[in-house]
Amino acid sequence: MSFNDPLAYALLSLALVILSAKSLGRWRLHFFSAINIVFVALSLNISGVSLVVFAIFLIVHYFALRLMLISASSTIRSVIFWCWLTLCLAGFVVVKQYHWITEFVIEGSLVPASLVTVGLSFILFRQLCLAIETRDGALNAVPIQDYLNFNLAFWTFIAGPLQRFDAFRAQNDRLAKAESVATQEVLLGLNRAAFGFIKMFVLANFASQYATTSTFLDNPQPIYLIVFLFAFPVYLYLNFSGYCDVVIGIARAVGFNLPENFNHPYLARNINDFWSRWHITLSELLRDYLYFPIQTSLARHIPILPAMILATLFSFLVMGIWHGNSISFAIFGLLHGIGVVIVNLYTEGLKKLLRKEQLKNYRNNRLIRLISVIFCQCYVILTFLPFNYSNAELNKVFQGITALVGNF
Amino acid sequence: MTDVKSALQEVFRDVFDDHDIVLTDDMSAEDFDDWDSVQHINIIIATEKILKIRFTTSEISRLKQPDQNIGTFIMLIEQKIQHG
Repeated sequence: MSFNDPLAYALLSLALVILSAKSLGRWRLHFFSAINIVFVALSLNISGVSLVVFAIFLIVHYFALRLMLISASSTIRSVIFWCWLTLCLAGFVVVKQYHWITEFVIEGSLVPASLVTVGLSFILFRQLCLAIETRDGALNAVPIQDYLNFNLAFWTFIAGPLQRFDAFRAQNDRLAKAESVATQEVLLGLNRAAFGFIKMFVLANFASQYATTSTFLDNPQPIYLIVFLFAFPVYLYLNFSGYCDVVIGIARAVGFNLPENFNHPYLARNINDFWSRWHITLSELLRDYLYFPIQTSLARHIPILPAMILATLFSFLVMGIWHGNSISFAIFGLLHGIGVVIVNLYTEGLKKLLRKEQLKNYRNNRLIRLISVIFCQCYVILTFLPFNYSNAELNKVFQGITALVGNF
Repeated sequence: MTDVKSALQEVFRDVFDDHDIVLTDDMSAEDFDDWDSVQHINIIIATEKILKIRFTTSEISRLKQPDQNIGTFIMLIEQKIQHG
């Protein structure tokens, strides 16, 4: 089941009614848990093997958390953390069928074709953050119901937005206390969800018609090349931000605040800025739980700039691999990592070359901003190509572009 | 001004290359134009070196949260110094 399925809407509507009923009191929390489990089961097509795989991921992680919570020694907590992480990543690579990684060990698929893993990538991230916080002693307790709701919340199960556990618990407690939601909040939430549906099903669907290589290959003219290049990024933005509008809106209507995931990404002036505006919750968690620890560990031993370069490239490589199981996603991640490294080095260079006032003028200069935005968006559009199209498709496009240039 | 606060002020002046910086408890990352991810780590590493402490991943990440400021950073450092 996905957000394209009418059953999902029926379930969401039912959830909305139940969760909005103040008279239910603490039962709202139990209903929330029940709805989450039903939603997840339906999302996994009630497939036995899929449910077992998800259960294993959750049970092993929760067991590791409990062990860390009762361990007074930080060394023991670290050992438990690394054991869990190794097991979890190995399981993830196998279950998500990263053949370009597993082929070094074994040929062919290790899991049945019927296995559904929708939502697993997002669970992995939530689990990683929770495990790091527990290892560091930042959490004193992880109640089982909160744990399950955190990982399986129906509105964020499929594709986020990702949330920190403490932020989730604060919202979850509000649900348990059955605080009433102002009518204005309910209406604003529903309005946002409706707007999201329009973005997803009208605007994104329209853009998707042009997000195929045939848009350009059947009409090899410059204008169709531009339409082809823009179509997928536009589709992706409308589809994903529309989805986020739906889930953030529905959650808001029942008094649950989810973090924002987009902030006009196509106005970004560089790749750093782009990632602070695009899939914000993923960027922030990647920065906090992968980039920061790697860079800090490296910078304790080597100069800050090489540490920044290595940490950035590795973090973006992981980000790319996390997005999908083909090697194209790794390339996508690396390209964005290289972009961020170049921007960081350029920024450091500017700071050394210019005085504070000059730097401020440079940043506020409208022409420089316009050129930066155009340059950044061209880079984003080109690096999105391996995200959506196969090598064979891209080869045909490049042949078409070569022929087009030759004709001129 | 406490020892921790004055040490932190020196770190900030050095990292941001601005000797006019005067830290107050309610200041946050929003008050510094150049407080990006690279500078964040510069602050962490310089603070660790000067005050002989070590931050965990969770502590480093929480410093970027909206509810954190210089005051909470100083409290965290003082707690770490106390507990060795």
